[in-house]
Amino acid sequence: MKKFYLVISLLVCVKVGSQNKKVLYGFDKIPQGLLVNPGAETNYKYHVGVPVLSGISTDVGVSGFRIADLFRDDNINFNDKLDGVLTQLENNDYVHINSQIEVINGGYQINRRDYLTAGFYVEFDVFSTLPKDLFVLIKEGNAGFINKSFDLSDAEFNADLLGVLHVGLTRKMSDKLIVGGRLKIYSGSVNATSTGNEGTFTTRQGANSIYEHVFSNLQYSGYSSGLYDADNEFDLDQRGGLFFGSNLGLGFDVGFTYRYNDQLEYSASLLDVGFISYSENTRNQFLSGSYTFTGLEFQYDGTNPDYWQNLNDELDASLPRSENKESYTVLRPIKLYAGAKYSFGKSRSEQFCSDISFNDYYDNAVGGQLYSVLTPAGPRFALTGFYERKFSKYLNTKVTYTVDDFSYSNFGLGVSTNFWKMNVYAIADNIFRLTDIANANNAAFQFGINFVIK
Amino acid sequence: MRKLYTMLMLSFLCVNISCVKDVDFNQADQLVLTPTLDVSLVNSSITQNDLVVGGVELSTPLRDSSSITLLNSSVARENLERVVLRFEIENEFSRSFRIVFTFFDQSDMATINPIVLNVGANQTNFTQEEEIIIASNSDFLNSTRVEVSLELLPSTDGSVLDANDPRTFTFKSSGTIYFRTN
Repeated sequence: MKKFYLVISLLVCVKVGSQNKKVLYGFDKIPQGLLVNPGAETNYKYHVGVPVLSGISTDVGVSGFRIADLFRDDNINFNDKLDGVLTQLENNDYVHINSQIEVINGGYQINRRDYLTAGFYVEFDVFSTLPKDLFVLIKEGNAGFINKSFDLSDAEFNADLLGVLHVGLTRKMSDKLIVGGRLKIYSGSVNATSTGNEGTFTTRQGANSIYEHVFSNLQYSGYSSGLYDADNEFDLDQRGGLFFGSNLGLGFDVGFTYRYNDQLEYSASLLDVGFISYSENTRNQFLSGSYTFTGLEFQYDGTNPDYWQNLNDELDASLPRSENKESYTVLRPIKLYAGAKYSFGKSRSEQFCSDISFNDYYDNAVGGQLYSVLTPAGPRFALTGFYERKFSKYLNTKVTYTVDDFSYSNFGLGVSTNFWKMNVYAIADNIFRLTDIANANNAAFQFGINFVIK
Repeated sequence: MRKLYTMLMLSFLCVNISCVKDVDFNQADQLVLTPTLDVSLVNSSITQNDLVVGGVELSTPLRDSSSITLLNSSVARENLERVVLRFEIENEFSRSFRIVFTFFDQSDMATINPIVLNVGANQTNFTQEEEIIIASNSDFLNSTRVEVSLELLPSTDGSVLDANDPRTFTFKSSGTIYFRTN
């Protein structure tokens, strides 16, 4: 259990960040950009990422409240702050955590058309709705909520810890079109999934009892792998391997970049179309049905049955629960990027060069990007506008403005530097909240070092 | 190169650590949950026929009981603060009743003083509440059985129950259960 808390604490400490790599997408031909669009342009012969440091990304987003709302050191009682947060939560609020650490990454230009990449990264991903009704029921109880239907269908959860081995190919089909694909072999280490839950719980005035407690159309399913031992005791030591472990899956990414003319290009990518089949140390639980409880009905007929046991029997019949250790399959969260980019402002120092790519020819670019991810609670969207400015062949920057579920005031900044044969990039999201991240609804950071040979 | 790594990592950590200010996660230790549950308990509805056997009124109380295992759980034993029992009775009979609500442990010893309800004849809106503070009635947590006895009290005017009279005696009870978890 301590290990579990340690893992969670560490992840929170490094501020595991958002999954939407909006700044990285299409930015300065950074090698890791191929992971968000395998059809992105490359202009180097090969690249090698510095092991463990080539791609570190974290992203955390919480809609409905901010960490500071709960944990600001302001001498306000924590319970009062929790009440405030629960009041402002809405049923569609959620929390999302994603973190990736690239262990190894490299690429090689096979010929003038093809660029081959391969690598391995570890990903931690959590999505959870914030089911307000369930939180209120647990915290307050049902007293004071007579006739209120607590909606239990808002509880959706998915958490994954996995390793991803990938091989990709980017092909320049023509001067206008670049396409790419990437094959991924997932190795799931830990998973917990509970989706498709349904049902309500209502307490109301009874006719032949003071109260009636109505469980209506309950539908619960919970799947887990790597969390419990054979005795169903919680134990993270049961997790599977991150590299070709017992829980394997397959997936792919595809993407393209289409240059409409010298200045305008379109691009799009579809990532993580795939699945993981979990079969190691699984534990799955289910419950469904409807039941109305009005109390124990004493008959006074001399038989004096075991009313309590009868109640349990009725519950088991009306709300059947079951458990198994069968394997199950979880789809990866499919992500979609689409963007348009308009470059302008010719570089005086480079306009007469004949061997530079079209993007190098311009110092400025503006554009827009759409991002969508398929979560257990349905698709989520983000819209980004950006301005990219190349100050020299050594320094490129990108500024983004994003509107999503978390914020309408999210400005991101990316800096990519190229000295000698080394590319170093650093990206931060929500930069105006950087001085006080706890007061932000989301934060994301990316950082990496690569050796790039042109 | 090694210095570069060190410098970069330190910079990264500094940026991350310095970004969070005036935040104290230890405040979570102050969390207190105080859920309050309204729960139906025991109900019953009897007719005058139930109290007349062979044309003769029962002279002994009717008794019925049930096991209860809710208080066996560690959550209840560690966090239950108090219970308020509420009784609502609709007595259409022209006779008085005494109802005794008793909780027993596994040795059949009463865990709290029996709760006595004296319901007058034709009293159709009888209500009574009883509060059980766990701190001063800790034996209540050992309760494993509840018994409710209904005693028909002697007539004060010599009238007797008519087994064919469809009037009913309705008994309802509920508990408001106060938890406190730190």
